[in-house]
This record gives sequence, structure tokens and C-alpha cells, in this order.
Amino acid sequence: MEIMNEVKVTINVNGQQVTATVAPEESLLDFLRNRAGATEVKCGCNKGDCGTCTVVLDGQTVKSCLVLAAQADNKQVLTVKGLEKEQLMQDLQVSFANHGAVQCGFCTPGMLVTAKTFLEKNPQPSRQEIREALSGNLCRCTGYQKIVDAVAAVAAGKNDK
Amino acid sequence: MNSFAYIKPRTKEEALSVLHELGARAKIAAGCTNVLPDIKAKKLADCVLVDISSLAELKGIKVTGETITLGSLVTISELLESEAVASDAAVLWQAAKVFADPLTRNRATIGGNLANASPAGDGIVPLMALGAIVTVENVNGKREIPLEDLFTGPGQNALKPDELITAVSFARATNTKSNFIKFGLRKSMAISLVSIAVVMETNGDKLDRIRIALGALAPTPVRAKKTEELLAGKQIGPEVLEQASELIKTEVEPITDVRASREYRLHLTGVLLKRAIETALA
Amino acid sequence: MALKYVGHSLPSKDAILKVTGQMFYTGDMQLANMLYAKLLLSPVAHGLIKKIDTTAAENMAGVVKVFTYADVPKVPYNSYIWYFGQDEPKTEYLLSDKARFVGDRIAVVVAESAAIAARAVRAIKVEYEELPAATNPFEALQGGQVAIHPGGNLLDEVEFQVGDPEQVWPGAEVVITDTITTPRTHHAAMETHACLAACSPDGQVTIWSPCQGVYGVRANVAEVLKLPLNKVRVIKAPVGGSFGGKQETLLEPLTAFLARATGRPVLLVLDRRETILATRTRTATKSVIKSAVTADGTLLARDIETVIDAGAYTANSRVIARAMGKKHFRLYRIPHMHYKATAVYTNTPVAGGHRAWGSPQVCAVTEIHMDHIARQLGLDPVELRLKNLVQPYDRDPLSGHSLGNARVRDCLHTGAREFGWWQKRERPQKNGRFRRGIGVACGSHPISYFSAHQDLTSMSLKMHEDGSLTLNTGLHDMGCGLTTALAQIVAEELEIDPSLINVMEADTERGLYDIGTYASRNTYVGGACALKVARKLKELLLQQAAILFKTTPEYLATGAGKIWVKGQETQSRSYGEIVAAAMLQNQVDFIVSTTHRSAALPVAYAAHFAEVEVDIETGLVQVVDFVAVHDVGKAINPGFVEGQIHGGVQMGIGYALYEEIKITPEGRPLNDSFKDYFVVNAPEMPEVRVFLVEKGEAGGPFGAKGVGEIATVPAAPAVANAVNNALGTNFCDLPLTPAKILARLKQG
Repeated sequence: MEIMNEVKVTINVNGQQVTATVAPEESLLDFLRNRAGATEVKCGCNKGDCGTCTVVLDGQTVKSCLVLAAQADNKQVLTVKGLEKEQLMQDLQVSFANHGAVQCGFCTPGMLVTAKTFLEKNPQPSRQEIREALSGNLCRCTGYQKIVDAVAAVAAGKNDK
Repeated sequence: MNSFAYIKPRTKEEALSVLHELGARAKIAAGCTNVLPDIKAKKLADCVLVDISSLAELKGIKVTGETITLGSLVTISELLESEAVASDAAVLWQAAKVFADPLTRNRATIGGNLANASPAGDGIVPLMALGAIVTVENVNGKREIPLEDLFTGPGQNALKPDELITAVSFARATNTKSNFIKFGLRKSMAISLVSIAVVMETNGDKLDRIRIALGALAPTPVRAKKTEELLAGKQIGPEVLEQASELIKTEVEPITDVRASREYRLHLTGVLLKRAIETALA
Repeated sequence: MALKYVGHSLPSKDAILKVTGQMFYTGDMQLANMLYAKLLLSPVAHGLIKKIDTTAAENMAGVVKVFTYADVPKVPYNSYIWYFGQDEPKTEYLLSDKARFVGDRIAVVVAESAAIAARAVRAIKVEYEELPAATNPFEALQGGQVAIHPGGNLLDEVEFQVGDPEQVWPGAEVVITDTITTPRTHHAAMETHACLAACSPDGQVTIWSPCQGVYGVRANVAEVLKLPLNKVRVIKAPVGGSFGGKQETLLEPLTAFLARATGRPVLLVLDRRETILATRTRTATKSVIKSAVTADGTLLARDIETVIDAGAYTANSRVIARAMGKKHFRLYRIPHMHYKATAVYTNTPVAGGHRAWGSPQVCAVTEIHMDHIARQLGLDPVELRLKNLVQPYDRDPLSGHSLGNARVRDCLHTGAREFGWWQKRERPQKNGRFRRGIGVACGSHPISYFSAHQDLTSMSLKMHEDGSLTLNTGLHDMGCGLTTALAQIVAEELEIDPSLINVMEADTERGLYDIGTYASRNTYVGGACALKVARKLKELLLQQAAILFKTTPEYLATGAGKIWVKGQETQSRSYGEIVAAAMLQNQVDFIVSTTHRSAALPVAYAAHFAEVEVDIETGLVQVVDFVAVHDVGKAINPGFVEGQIHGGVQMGIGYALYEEIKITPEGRPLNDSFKDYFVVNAPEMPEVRVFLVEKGEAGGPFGAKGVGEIATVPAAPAVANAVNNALGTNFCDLPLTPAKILARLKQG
């Protein structure tokens, strides 16, 4: 244990070990975008207010701008791309596309990650519960309605509209 | 040139000795839901980030006899998932349910919420109504501080630079009625304009004892003790509630800021007190 | 014949890229040797720069250079200009030599990484001599104020009139006046502003920008950098939301300059605070509206005098002052109307276009006022509107042009029925803590630039040897599904699957000309062009097929991407076979192009209905039901149309209840993050019920009109009217925050 002016970290990003030397204050978001090439993780505010940077960190859904890169050392991060291996995420992706839940697409990767981990915990949600679950992810294009439709359709097992 | 440094103690003891060494240069990093925005907003600079996020000693919710102890690294989501909290600290569970948003709840810790000392801290207010005691430690040992004595001003607490919040504990509130109301402009992802927690012991339709804690109404979260005294031993009806909702306004010192005016906050205080008590009794 | 692709809710062509995280927005782009720029914004609202010390910043490892006003071209420009040669006052420079608002661009660092650039910006030392700040237009116009620009703080005044309202006032049965204010708002696209520029050794600069008009960007960059137009290539990047926020040339001239000055590619990405303060905002307005009306509710005359807060630079405020006025003349039949606008500079963030260019403002003004009239006269708000709304093919009294198939009355009828307006009107008000209220508002918004500016667009359509196609355009898909809708139109005409068609977006070098994706004109103008170019290609196919079949086109039949001689369907040949054969045998290339000019100024209309529940103890408003009915002519893709309306309603509810960039009297912004600038999130949104009136618009492809902007126009006043209905109030100042509502209720 020592005081470090820079920190060497290894983070497993979507199955790939990524090692880099980071500044102490560097966020996981910056690490993912700038060092791991994970540009599917978006930055809409960098202050934890919009949810565009949502990823799964060791099983927890988090806003990656609110995590220090150093804190993710030796941990596993899954972005929308890493979660794609799972059927539930694929179902959500298809459902988002088919329901018009995607307009500009900038909030989409974060929305999908939040929706996926939510449905794992609550497979049969009401529309209001879906809305509550997505409350930390902002969208300016869709008014959320088709996003809620898309998530509800997956929960109901009706992905193809 | 880099104004930040980083250290990651492996045990609580190491963490305490690091704090001892660094004193005011240390900034505890746990859930980082405040630390990172503060760094971005340049409110925080020139410090050593002491990453305590992996210290097992500070994790977990323990029920011992009549006491519930929360490790300072317990996250808001863990509070929501805890049966003990849901049944024996309902007011805290209700607050956790409306804390920030679901993603932030996965990272934000109860210790961080206390240390951050926001006048609007949504974790603080229910704990204050539960009469919680905060355990703080340094290399020389531990001391316990009643939560209501922890804060000295907005963003300021009574901790010495080498001290670390390790736990917060409170008596199981099994035979009580309670309610937490957060008033924000949105249902989630909103900072409280006013928040209130009430925890009551009742006997038939008589109120034996009540603890009232308020957020965003003074430089720190506060108890409304005069109002508590007024209500204690009373049968709750419209008249006494009206009295209480007037009295409580004299116990707070809200400010005007971008979220609300002083007058509006004062008004809400009375409204929310009535609602909290009525809901708890319902 | 039933339409096979048009009118169907096909998924967006690029959705798959977006859901898999493979869409590369500007901030995701990387070029070899790329540098990162970071702005230093003014912390003072008004001040002279006495001294800038960049030494410490420039000495930092990894910093390439720090630029201030002394290092950039002294060429003024107007970020709003969107076509070459457009004449508007030019008050802005790449970097300012005087701070005119908190957020003004003072310096820029270029460094090897974004982190280094951010650190270096903090090391720049600026000494300001602060000047008194004028932060509202009324104050700015008072004598003795320090001028924000050399000509003073009055930017412009404009008046329009039809008939003679002055004659009407004295004898009018009823005259009603309101003062109505609308707030300064943030577009809140989730993608912050960004620009990437690179220059080649021959001096050409290439710019990737999530913009709405590459040719406008090119015009501005060429002017500031003094380059020929063909040395500036602007490529439209994927847009992570704009809503007008990215329509002006904001970052491109500076980024292009930095790329040329350093000889390396430069990426400039703003953060959220910078996007809120240093781009554009929806113009704040204060209007006095006066109407003369008969006792039975017929509007006789109207006057609107509005004051527009332009913020610190000219941008589009001169023009929005006019746009607001013109839009006001197209909703109701009022024989005598007068409009006057005064645009004023203040030391606040710069105003610009924000989804519907003045329509949300003027609609809030007229529609809140209409409900006030209805209350005064004891009339139903729907009935009052039906008495006065325009009819299809009425003429815009100002321009004389037809409003087209203006179906606002149908919208109102459908909406009232679906919303349950009459039943809800008769429901007794609840006592106690929650009060319910209902509100309606109508709105209008044009869908082209016809008669105001050039309104042309060009496209080429190429069919490849296998029958697949490339449609090349000058348009910008902002996420609303434009490229898919164009493919649907072409596919319908050619009777082929839309997936066979690639649609290319704007690129000043490789694409075709379009004046820009503004004014909701993509579908009406762009879609019509796509249909025209598809017809042209079909003609060519038939002509060439006729040669191959040794006949003439009138003996040919088409279907499902095949051509045959009538009666000989079994010997049909696919388009691809015809193309391949004709290229070989007839030496013909299957590329056609066309230019389309709009020939009319039809207007899109809507009626929105809102039901709210107001907590009278706290003032909190919850929207519990919402019906939006839109006159869209014909929905090319109903799913896209609904989606835009849902988003428009979200923005409108925010405009009514939450959203405002708050600036202190000293010019300090109070809410420069999403923590305190509230956009409506998922739990606050009601389920929006959308209904479409599809009665066709001549000149639109398959009868389609545009919807992008009208989607938001009537939403806010519908909500405000519902609140006024619930409480018996006459709130006229958006947003209706709980504190405002409570203060009014306490007054009694």
C-alpha cells in the first residue's frame, strides 16, 4: 500500500483485460472510452445526472462517470456490447429497434443496460415499474413511451411486436 | 503536475493509519457519487483519494438483539434489499426507495451520505428520526456520536481529519409507526426541496413519543424537538396537527436557493409534517 | 392501390447500429495524431479583458498551444447564417476580446489529450475589468446602460399588420389583455456539442459535425478562414439529438481554425455545462397580447407586442422576431392583426432556434390568452377555438399564400372525442388536496421555406447492377428516421423492398445541395424530391427495358422490382438484370438526379389536450392524461411520427412545468447541469395518446406534411390551461413551478 500519483489498473472490459496507467481522479467512463475503446459507453453529463454511461460493474448497474477507474481495478465491466452475448440483451436490442425506442440513439446503450439488469430482477414489471427503473436514464427524443413499450414487450415475451 | 493522488488501504487498520498520516489531505473515496462530481466541478482538488471501497470490515448489515448496525459502506440498494431494514427501520427503507435514482443507489453508501453532510441528505434524515448513533474511528480507537451532533454546517461534520465513519446503528423500530416524505420536483433524480421523517410510538390513539427529522430546512438536517414535545402524549387530531405544523416552522431556518425559496420551504414543512404523521398513522 | 411501404412503421435503418453501440458519434471519432481542444469560458457576465496569461498553461507537458482573441482571425460572423451570402449582422468572433456573458469563449487550449487540455484551461489566468451587466431586456434598454455591442443594446424592431386593429378597439364589446412570459430553455439533446476537423496538406479542411446544415457550416467556415468553398468539406456526423441546438455554426469555425493552425486533426467536445451556457438557448420572451372579441366569441382584432431576449450576440434573434410574428397569423381568422417585436441584447447566454423557432413562444401566448377569453365570456375553450380557427385552404393574411389542407378543426374534433373533453368538462371539481383540470391548445407550424428563402433540395439516385440502390441527398437525419422514410418513399414508387436502398446524408463534397434540415421540411420537401427522383429512375428503367424487350414503354408492366411486356409476365426481368444488360448493351449508366423546389407554404397543425392533477397544498402538478392529434397529411412511417410527437410532448411538459435556465440579475447561471435543470424523466411522463389526421397535402410525397417541430408547439399551453382550469387561475408565466402556483393560491 502506497500513495500513488498514478495508478496501474487492469479492468476486464467485455472479456478483454485492459491494462493502463491512470490518473487517480480518472473515471471509469474515461477509462472505458479513452483506454478500452468502448465508445458505446456515452457521456451526456459526466456528473451522474443522465445515465448515458451506464454499465455493469461486477454485477451492479452503475453510472460509469461516478466510479473511479482505480476502483474498478481487477473487476469486470460489461457494456451493451459485452451483454450482447446474453439472450435477454439481444431480445431487448431487437425490441428497441422494432418498437421505435431508438431515435437519436445516444441514450440507447445506457438505457439497454439499465433495462436488462432491471428485467433480471423484475421479470414481470408494470409499466410504472419500468418507468421507475429507467428514471436515472434521460432521453430527449422519445418521451420514453416507446422505450417502455419495448421493455414491456420483452417482459411479455413478445419481441417481434 | 497532478493535484490528486490515490491510495487503497487493504484493511480498516491500514485505512486509519493512512488517515492519521495524511490528515486533512485525505479525501475518502467510497461510492464516489459525490466525490467524482465534486472533482469535475473543481470543488475538490489537491488531495489524496483514500479508496476504502473494498474494506470488508465496513460492509454488511448486522442485527444484534435490538440493534441494527449498518457498515458505512452499505449501499442504498443494500438497504432496499434488506429485510431487517424493511421491517424494523421502515422509515429508512422508504427513504432508500426515493434516494436519487436506481443506478446511483447501487453505488452511494450510507457512510458517504453521512460524511457528505448535505442539509438535504436523504439517508441522514430517516436515520436521525431513528435516533441513530454514528461510530467513528481513528488510530487511537473509536467514539460514538449521536447522529444529530454529527453535523456542524452545510457539507461539514464533526469528524476530525483522521477519523473515519465505520458504522451507524440504531434501535430496531419494531413497534413504531413511521413515514418518510421527500418533496422534490420529480419523483426521482431530484434533490429534496424538503424532506421529513417521523418515527412514532403510539398507544391506542395516543402518541407516546415521536421523533421528527427534517432535511433541507437548515444548515444541517435537524430534529424538530419542540414539535416532538408538543405532540408527545397527545391524541392526534386536526387541531393538534395544525398547532404542530405552525410550531415546526419556528424550528427551522431554510434558505432560498435555485430549488426553492425560504417561504416555500417553510410552507412545505407544515404540510409535510401533517402528511407524514397522517400517513404513518393510516 | 394499397401502399406497401409508405404508411407502415418500419424500424429505422440505423437502429441496429444504435442498439449495438456501433454508431460513432463525433466524440467517438479518432483520427491519427489527433489533438483535443478545450474552451475557457468567461466567468463574468460583462467585462473587459485586461490581461490573459497563458504561460503556465502553455508550459504544461502535452499542451500544444493556447489561443486567445489575439491569435485568431479578426473576422466577425453570425453563427445563424445558413446559406451562402445571407446578410445578417455579424457580432461574433472565434474568441472574444470582451466577455459579454457567463459562458463567452475567451480562450482555447489544444493538447495531446482531453485531460491535459482540461487541466491547462484551469492554468490560464485572465484579469477582467468588470462592467455592469444587463441581464434582462427591459433593463438593457434603459438609458445609461453599458452597451454590450457598439451600436447599443437594441438589436432590432419589427412590425407586421393586416387590417387596422386601431379602428376596432374603441367599439369592441370585449377587450382582453394578458402579459405572458416564456422562459429561456436548454435543448437538452443527450449528445453534447462536438466537432472534429482535419486539414490536408493542400489546405482543404474537413469537418465532421452533428449539424443540421452542412452548407451553412461551410459558408461560415469559409468566410472566417477566408477559404474558397471547395476547400471546406463538411460532413454531417450522426446527430445525438439537436432540436435546433446544433443548427447554428457554433464549434466548426474555431475547430477548423485550430486544425489549420496546428496542422493536426482537432476534436472539440463540450461538456454539459458548456452546452447549456455556451451554445444556444430557446429565446425568452415577454409579450402583451390584446384581443377584441364579440360576446359570442368571434375574434375581431388582435395585437401582440413582444420583447425578445437575444442574449449576448445577434445569432437568429432578428429573424426569430419575424418568425414569431408570421406564425401568429396562421392559426385563427382574425381580420385585424398587429404584431410588434423588439429584440434586445443582454449579458446572458445567446438565444437561438429551439424546436419550432418561435412557435412554442407565440403559441403559449395566444393559447393561454384564448382560455382567458373563454373564461371571461363563459365559453367552452373548444367551442371558442372552433369559432375562430382557420379553414382548409384559407390564405395566410400576411403573405397571401394558401395554408394548404389545414385540418386543425379535424384535430380539435378528434382530440375532444378521444380525450373525453365534454365528459371531463362536466365532471364536478374535487374538493381537498388534489384538483383536476383539463386544457386544450391548438398550434401551427410551417413545413417549408417557400416564399421566405430558397427552398430547394437535390438528390441523385443510382441503381447498381444487382438492382440495389444508393440515394444521395443533402439531408440530415437527426434520429427521427428520415433516411428510412426516404427509402420507404423510393421503395413504394419502385415497388421494391426499402432494405435495397442506401441513403447517403449531407456531405458538401460528395453529396448534393440542400438548404438544411430546418423548418420541418425534410419530409415535405425532401420526401417530395425522393419521390421525383424515383419516378425519374423508373422512367429510365422503362425506357431501357423497352429497348431490351424491343418494344415501347407503354407496352411494359412493372411489379415487385420486375419489368415485363404486358401479358408476358413469365418473361419478366428484374431491375438488376435490366441495369446490367443495358449498361453492357446500351452503354447507359443508371443514375438520375433532380432538384425539387417547394411550390407552396402549407402549414402543419395540431391540437393537444392535457389533464392535470394539482396538489394545492404544495403546488405540484402531475400530468395524468395527454392526447395529441396531428394534421400530418399522410404519415410515411406512423411509428416515427408518433415517436416525434411523444418527444415533443415531453419537451412541452417540461416547458410548461419545469424547464428554465435561471440567470441571476448579476448574470450568474444558477442551474448549469441536469441536477437542477430538469428535463422530464420517465416516471413523470403520462402515457401520450396520439391520433393522426391524414387528409393529404398536395405537393407532399403521398400527401405527407412535416411533424418534427409542431410536435412540441401546443403541448405547453395545453398543460398551462389545464392548471388554470384546475385552479381557476390565469397563470401566464411559464414554467408553472410549484412555488409559483402556491404563492398564487395563497393570495386567494
